[in-house]
Amino acid sequence: MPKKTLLDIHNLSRAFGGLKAVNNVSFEVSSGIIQAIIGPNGAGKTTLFNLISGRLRVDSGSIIFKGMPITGLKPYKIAKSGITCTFQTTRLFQHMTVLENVMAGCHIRSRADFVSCILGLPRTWKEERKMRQASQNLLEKFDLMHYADEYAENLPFGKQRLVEFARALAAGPELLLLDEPAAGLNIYETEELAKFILSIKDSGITILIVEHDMSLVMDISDHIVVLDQGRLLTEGSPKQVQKNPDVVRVYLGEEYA
Amino acid sequence: MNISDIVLQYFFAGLRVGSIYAIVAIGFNIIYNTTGVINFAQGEFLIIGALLAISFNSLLVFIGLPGVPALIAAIILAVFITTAIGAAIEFAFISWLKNPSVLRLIVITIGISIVMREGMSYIWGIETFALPFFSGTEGTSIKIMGASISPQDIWIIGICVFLVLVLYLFFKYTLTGKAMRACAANRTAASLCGINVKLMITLSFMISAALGALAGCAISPLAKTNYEMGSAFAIKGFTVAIIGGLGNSMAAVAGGIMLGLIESFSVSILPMAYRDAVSIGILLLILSIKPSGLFGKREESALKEY
Amino acid sequence: MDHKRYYPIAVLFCIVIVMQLLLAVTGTSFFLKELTQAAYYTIVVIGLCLLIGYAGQISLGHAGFFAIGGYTSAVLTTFDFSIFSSSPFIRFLHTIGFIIQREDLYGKQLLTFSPMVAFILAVLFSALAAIAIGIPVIRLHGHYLAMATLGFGVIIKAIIDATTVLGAHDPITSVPGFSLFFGLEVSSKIPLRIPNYYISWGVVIIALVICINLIHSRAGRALRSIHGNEVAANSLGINTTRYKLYTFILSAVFAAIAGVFLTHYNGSIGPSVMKSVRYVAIVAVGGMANLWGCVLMSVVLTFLSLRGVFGSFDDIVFGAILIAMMLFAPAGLLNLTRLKLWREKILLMIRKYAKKDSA
Repeated sequence: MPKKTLLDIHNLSRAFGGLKAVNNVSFEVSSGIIQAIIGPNGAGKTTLFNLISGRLRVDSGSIIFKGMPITGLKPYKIAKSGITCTFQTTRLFQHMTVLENVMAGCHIRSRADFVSCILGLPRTWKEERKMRQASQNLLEKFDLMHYADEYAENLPFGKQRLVEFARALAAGPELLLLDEPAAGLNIYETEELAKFILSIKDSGITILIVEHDMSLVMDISDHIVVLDQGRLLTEGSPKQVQKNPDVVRVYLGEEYA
Repeated sequence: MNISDIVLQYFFAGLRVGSIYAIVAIGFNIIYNTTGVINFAQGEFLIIGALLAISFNSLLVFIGLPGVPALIAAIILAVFITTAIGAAIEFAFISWLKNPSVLRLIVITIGISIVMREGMSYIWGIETFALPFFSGTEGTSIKIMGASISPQDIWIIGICVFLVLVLYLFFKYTLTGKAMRACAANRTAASLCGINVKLMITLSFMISAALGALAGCAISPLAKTNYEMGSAFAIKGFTVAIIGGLGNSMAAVAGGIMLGLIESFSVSILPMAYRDAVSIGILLLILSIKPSGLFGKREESALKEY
Repeated sequence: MDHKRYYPIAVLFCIVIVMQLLLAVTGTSFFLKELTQAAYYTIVVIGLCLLIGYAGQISLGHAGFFAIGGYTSAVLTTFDFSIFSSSPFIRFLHTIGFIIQREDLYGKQLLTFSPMVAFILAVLFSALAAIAIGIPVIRLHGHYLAMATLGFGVIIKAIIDATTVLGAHDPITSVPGFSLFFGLEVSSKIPLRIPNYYISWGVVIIALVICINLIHSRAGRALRSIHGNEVAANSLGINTTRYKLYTFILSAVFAAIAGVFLTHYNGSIGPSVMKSVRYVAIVAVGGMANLWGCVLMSVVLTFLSLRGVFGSFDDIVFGAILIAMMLFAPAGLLNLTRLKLWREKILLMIRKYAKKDSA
């Protein structure tokens, strides 16, 4: 049964001065899978992510999400359409508590506008309660409840990563972009991470992940896209990609192909 | 006077103030380039330099020195002391900060400018003073193609051109100048190359202070000097720096001339009292449309970190 | 419903009452005047605290909004519009009561705007100015934002100094009282001193309620997210530009309201109100995101300044405070983390002492 296409990247290009960081890249992401983007350093993976999330402007090409073009939209609009991301270096709100960080993630799902908030209208109190409850549920799922009232900056690094996850999920995305989530994690933490990502997939969220940790990628990915020097090198299932001589060459050099 | 004479008159007036604004802008740029700090107290350097020169000049004339050497000595002393003040400010308020946020630095330099301004009002009072004309008197005028300008105008434009030239040569050909440019480009790399970054930072404050003092002395005979005038110079100098793109001193010269001319010609449309408002209006306009300035690229308008 | 958040306001309310009674009992009721003025300045500080502390946007020209509010209402209530009495528009405004006839100090008949209408127009005008300035400027960061807001403040001052209708370098005087409902009037008449004191603190309390509502809401959290990490906030669907703009406008409206009320209370307004840096200094001392710290510091410092305790060193004192705060305590003196640390230290000392006793 053909899977529905959630994200459609078409001839995407972005250059910095003379350097083409992303060069005519096209691929699709089917709904409900975990898709990984891999490639050696400088391949353009993070640039690609930034183009999808709207943080960088696209030079040419288009990005279609759920059938609607999102190229050129501002980041907050893209978030509202259903894509959230986590960052390579965690961007938590350091001076807010863990609970407040996750509640901030709930922002999209609530409708209490500025004026209603100022006036303290009862509907805003109700929304607050709902957001608080939803955030607490998420914290429980991630086993972070005992950190709820701790300032984000005081948490150990691995836990901060989890909080960023929870925050991204609080926004209720359909597509979750993970930028090197395993960076800086040890073997055990990476295993935990794999379990989390799989459980997120089970709840119906599509995941696009940029990662260097090959064991993680091969373990959990349904489909892999390989980039090299801004171009799409190849794509396929983990088995296919592993056996592809071009991929080996690009990572390890000519002699190993 | 016919129209072309009037236009010429405005033109020279514009060149005069424009060169001073350009020097202030260069002062901003030098400090910004090495530290990422916008020194809000830059305008005060002009005033304190001029006031010091005025006092020294009176003193030297009082003890019997003839006019011209007294003036020269007074200006040299004033520049010297202002430079020392610049170094002291950097040492006392900036050098020991660890990873200060932009807000913190902005507020500190604003506080410094207030304290300097009030300090000047206590020492010199609130009256308006003026340095004697470098040549000629208040009344002398030279006729150039139908416009009457003061010899001081020639001094001002000449001094500014001279300073720009000296700075250009300094930054391009001397070791210290190149070291400062290295700090501006990448402070960590510069220190790894053995450049004493802390010294370079102090030096940049000193150079900017000296520039300010000279500019203040040059404009004092015509614009007069009053303790309050520093902030107007600072804002206009900043506007010029922004027009040229923060950090780009050559463009600042062009920007200075532009702003000077606009401000000067605006008197023909708006009442003179609104002249300051015109310059600030231009600042707001540029910040709204293209903060990287007329000559800057978009990505470069991201601010440096300290 | 989390009513606990309003408790500090109730405490403030009690302190305000106690203060007045205390002054009455000790025969020092003349302090009420400075306390009333300090209350109005505090409203500006509260708005600025919201902008700088919570939304993280610096504004070095906020006195400009205070001036726009104050000067607009001053001009509308002192300018004699009878020179335009032949204009049908003016006559229409007269008929619907926007323009009234009143007597000035010398018994001359004037046609001016009614203070209530002038108030509404002044606040509206200030909000419009905030939108006009805010839209282009709020997208800026760091030095650019600082300079732009500073520039705004300087432009307002330059316009005031250059325009005769606004009095140029002289203050506009003989601003009439401002009649509110229930026969309350905002003016400097001595018998009305106590009601005016309560009016001013009433407005402060309303402002604080609004702030507390905002802070504990989704919008307040959005602001703190923006301050925390603007990129992340955007990635969570928060329209950061819009939120920053709303906060800017709100803080400008606060400043304008304070300006109108204080102008009517003092009966005059002059170019000397353009002291934006002073407000920033107070927010800095109070602890950027500490609303109550800002209130406390604002009242204390403004009161001392108004009573002339700093003498002619007034400006330099605030400049020095600004430097000292930024050098040594950038998060403010009454910063919450610091207070927590102090509380723990004290509790620790108490425990040690208690142990010694029982030993």
